[in-house]
Amino acid sequence: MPLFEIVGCTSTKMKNSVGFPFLHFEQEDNFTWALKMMKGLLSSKYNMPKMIVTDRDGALMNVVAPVFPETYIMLCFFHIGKNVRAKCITDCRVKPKPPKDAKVDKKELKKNKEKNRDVLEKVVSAWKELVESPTEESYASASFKFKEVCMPFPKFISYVETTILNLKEKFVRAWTNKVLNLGCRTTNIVESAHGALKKYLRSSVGDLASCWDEINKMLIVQFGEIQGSFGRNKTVVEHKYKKIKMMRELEDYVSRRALKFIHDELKRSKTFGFGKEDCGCVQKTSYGLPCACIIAMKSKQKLPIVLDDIYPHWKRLSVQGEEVDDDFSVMEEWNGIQECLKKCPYKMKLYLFTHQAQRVLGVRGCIGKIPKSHIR
Amino acid sequence: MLCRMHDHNLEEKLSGHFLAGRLSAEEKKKVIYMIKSLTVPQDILTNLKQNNKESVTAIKQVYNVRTRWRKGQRGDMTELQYLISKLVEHQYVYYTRCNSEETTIENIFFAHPESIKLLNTFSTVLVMDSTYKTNNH
Repeated sequence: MPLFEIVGCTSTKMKNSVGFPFLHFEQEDNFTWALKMMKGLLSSKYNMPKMIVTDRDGALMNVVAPVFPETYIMLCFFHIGKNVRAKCITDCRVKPKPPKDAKVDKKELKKNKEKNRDVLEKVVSAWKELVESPTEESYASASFKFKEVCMPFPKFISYVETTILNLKEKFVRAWTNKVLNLGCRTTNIVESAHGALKKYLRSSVGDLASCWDEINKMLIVQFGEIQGSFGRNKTVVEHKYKKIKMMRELEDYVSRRALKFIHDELKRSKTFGFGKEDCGCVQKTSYGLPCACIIAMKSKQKLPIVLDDIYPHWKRLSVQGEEVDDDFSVMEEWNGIQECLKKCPYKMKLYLFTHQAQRVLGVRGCIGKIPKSHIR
Repeated sequence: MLCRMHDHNLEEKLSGHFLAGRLSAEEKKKVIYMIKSLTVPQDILTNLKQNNKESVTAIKQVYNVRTRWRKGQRGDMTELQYLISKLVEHQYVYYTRCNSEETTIENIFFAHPESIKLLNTFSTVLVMDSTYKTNNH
């Protein structure tokens, strides 16, 4: 059974493993179920995720959108880059691969190999430029350039255009910068969670129960780490921030990661005027933190950066439990079921038991109440 | 006993003899303690040998203790019964889903209460991906 891990990201750049769905197959139906269950864990509809990052898995991609209609779905650009590279190696050849038994000049073979390598490097660097282009205009020019490089390989171009670039809004920087992504543009965080889990598991052929044993151990350590990071962020402030008057109000209330982003942006704001065009406002749109143009304006008017300028995610330095009234009893319904059972004919009783009660009670050792001969 | 046909000289060292290499009750406790904290059998053996210079325990005995301990833990519960009893004990939230004939559980989802709280605190960005080679199903 594959494990479909869902990981969240805290304000202190720690990972929080939300759930561990073990699925029978990687099918759309199973993914939908797991996502719905996960959605049920969220406390309110105002708390829905703004962004979900996945890899380019067809089944998963199709399913996330219907379950979370208001969420922006992003794809891991690193994995896509890997796919493009792999495809490039097979498709972009200067000369087609000679058949196995044909006699080939070794020198020529070496030359071809070097040429192939050059082409690969060119294509990959053009691709990188394409993905990292910060605005739609620069994307257009980068895409033109990419096509120019790949001109001799029409098969490769058609592959890229039909299967990858039709999803460009989901991974090219020009579009992902416009949405709140808190710096998660890859699935790195979940890959590292897989790695951490496998370190605990040690063997890849244990059964589910031993998997749980290790997962539980891992979670205890993980919560300790997260709590520790909260404590550090609340009490320790780096010296370089203490000197800056503008940021005085943020100390101890905002995570250090956010402070670092603001500090970098502050440095950048000194390099240009107050023009909005130069700024790009990426920090504002994708991190929810004041960007260079806002900081420049504030420092001109000698205003401090206030807590309201910062997206709530960065201000949360503790675990906020929700208050729920969980003190309700199901006595009425229970009695109803009992009465219903009493009236039921024998066969109906058996059916109810085998299909409903066994699922709830069977695992808790209540199975003995019905004579064993009746259980099939 | 001598039979003059299959005799060989007495061994000076006792390693390899199960009786000589058996673990004392205290050592067993220690081994189980180390198994719980994911120590590999080799390291456990090294530890035993360091503490007791005359020990002739073999790696096999450590493995035996481990298997016996693991079996004893579960009692006569099956894998899923044990899993679910543990999930209930530790107050996990868990959901299961059966196949259409309701004979076998196909999907299982569980989450720790603490991670649910964390999820509700930091719900802006979620990252998901699936991995293989975690279990034998």
